[in-house]
Amino acid sequence: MSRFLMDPRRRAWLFAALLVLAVGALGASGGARYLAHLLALAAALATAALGLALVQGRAGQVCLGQGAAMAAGAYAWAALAPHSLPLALAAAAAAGAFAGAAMALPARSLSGLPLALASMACAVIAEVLAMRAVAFTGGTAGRFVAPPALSAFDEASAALACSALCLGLAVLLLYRLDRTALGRAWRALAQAPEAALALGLDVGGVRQLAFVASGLCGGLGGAAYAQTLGFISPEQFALPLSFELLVIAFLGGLRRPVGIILASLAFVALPELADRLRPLVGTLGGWDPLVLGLAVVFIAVFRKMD
Amino acid sequence: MRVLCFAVIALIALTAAPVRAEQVLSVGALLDLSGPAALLGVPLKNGMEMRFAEANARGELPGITLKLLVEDTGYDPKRAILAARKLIERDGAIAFLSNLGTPVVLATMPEILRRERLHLFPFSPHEATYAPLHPLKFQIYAPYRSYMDPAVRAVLRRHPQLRRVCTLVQDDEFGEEVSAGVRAGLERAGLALTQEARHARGATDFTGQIARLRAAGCELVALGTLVRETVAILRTASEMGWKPLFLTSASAYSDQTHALGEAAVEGLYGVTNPLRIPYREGASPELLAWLDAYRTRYGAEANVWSAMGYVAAELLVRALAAAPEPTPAAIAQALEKLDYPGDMFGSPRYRFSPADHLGQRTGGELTRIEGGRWVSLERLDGPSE
Repeated sequence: MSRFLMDPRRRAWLFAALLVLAVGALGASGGARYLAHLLALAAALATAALGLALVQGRAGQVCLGQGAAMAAGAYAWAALAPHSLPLALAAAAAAGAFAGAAMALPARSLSGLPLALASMACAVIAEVLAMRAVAFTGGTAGRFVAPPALSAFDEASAALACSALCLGLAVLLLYRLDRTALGRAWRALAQAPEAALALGLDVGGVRQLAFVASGLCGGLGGAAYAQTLGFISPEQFALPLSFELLVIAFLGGLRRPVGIILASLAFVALPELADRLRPLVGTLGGWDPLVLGLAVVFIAVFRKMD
Repeated sequence: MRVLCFAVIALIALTAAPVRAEQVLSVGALLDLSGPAALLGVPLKNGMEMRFAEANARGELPGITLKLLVEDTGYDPKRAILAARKLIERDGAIAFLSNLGTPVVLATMPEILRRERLHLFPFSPHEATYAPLHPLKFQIYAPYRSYMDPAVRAVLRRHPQLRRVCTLVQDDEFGEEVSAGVRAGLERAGLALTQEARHARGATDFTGQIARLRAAGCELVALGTLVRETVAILRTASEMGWKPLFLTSASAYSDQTHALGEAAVEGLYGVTNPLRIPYREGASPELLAWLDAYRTRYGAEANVWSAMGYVAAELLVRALAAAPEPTPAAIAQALEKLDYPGDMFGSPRYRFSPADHLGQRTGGELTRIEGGRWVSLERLDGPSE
């Protein structure tokens, strides 16, 4: 045990886990169903953020458009889930991967900030498309996602099961990919892009594939998100969501999924903590985002010192 | 360590619920306190809170203490869904009162109804808030469509020589609603729409639209626009030396309209939906006492949103007083029998029935800006079906 604590990184994780547990206990006072909702939401966000960690940690690029992949997955899931759950899951993953591929189009020739901005443009376009494709998305009025027909579960548990499944699939996918030639190519690209180029690696193509894999995770995350909230509308997938995911990926670190999962748990649980502290400040508008913002700054500084 | 102990004790103190002999009834409200509609959220909250505090202090509901639980949605459906779940699961809210904003209401209403909580008088003039009929959903704010129809006919009655009626509306669902109401009113008056113009959301220049309407010879222009756009349109028209009659929907019925528009908005017709702005000047003694009580309590002047919050809470308090037990089903049945005659704020008569959960359909009164303030002219109660 003491050897386990010698490693400062492990100590930091233990600290984070304790924090999340403590805040989770606060959320639990809302009842088991409410806690299940929070956990399901955290799992959905973690699934999508995992893709970002791949793009950033492996391909060395910043993606500002993960919201587009989530939107694609969410609407695909909403349309097909009433008919067949496995089909809906596959469609959500495919739709997300397709959105990722669209974002990857400029990745062959662009990198760095221009590529990040291009991916951001994709998120904006996706929002407009979702608003205009009224027949499929319900337009700005939004559309409902029927509770899944899993008779063994109530609504909240079913959403949690669905989110956990999506998260598991995404983790499994990344774990498998990391051990293929493509995974090695990504690692080479992240560690020494020039060397990778000198070795004859198709840098642009490898980068594009990272976006596609990331989009797939985003699509799965979108499906989980849609099922958890039960209602989706275009503005939910606008830029703030993409930036939230980026913050989760940054806070969670890019190396291991567990970091991302903890970060999204903290991200979902922090507003609960802010809510508990509310009696100290009274009814103050914008209190929750303020606490969240301060916490992000604090964690960023804390991580840097580590 | 001492600090840690203190923190733990403080947390326990914060989470522990106070023990009371009386039954505490929790009523939730999903309001925008930090987003684009925050201007409405705070007075709305104050108005509801004030009525609940009065009921508790006077002991109007024996054995029951009313508690208003406000959650800030920031006008964001995602936050609203989580907040609604929190109010249901954690706080056991039995009713939601005056939830603010169509996106928030459409996102949260199905779940609230599925969990068998009352969904009362949301701040969203959308048909889905009362139709199709559901035992637990009630509305008192009529959709734009249903009161622009009697409003346009009322203006035509006052100016029988008018023949050429036009619309200028925001290019979205809201504008379309207003436009549809105007067309329905014209059809019944035996007229057709002369010209229709639209503007993008958030536009600031209306010269093109005004020129087109002027060229079409419009005598009455019905507006489906918000406060700032309404003021800008009337200013542009008056700068161009064009003075037709204007009629605006309730979305521009605000004291900001004449504060910003000054001389340019004189003579503008409007509609209340359904309350009057509680001006201090010319207020009844009863209203004046209410305005003073509000100012003492919150240190700010009451506005039309405060009055709307107060009336919404009033209806719930009356239903609770009439209900044999404070359960959603019993309160809903009491609401269906409720007949609210109107009040010092100029509320119309609200009546619900087991077959109809929209309390009124006409949007209140036709008003006009005269001498720098809105003056009520007549009650709109022509049939709108």
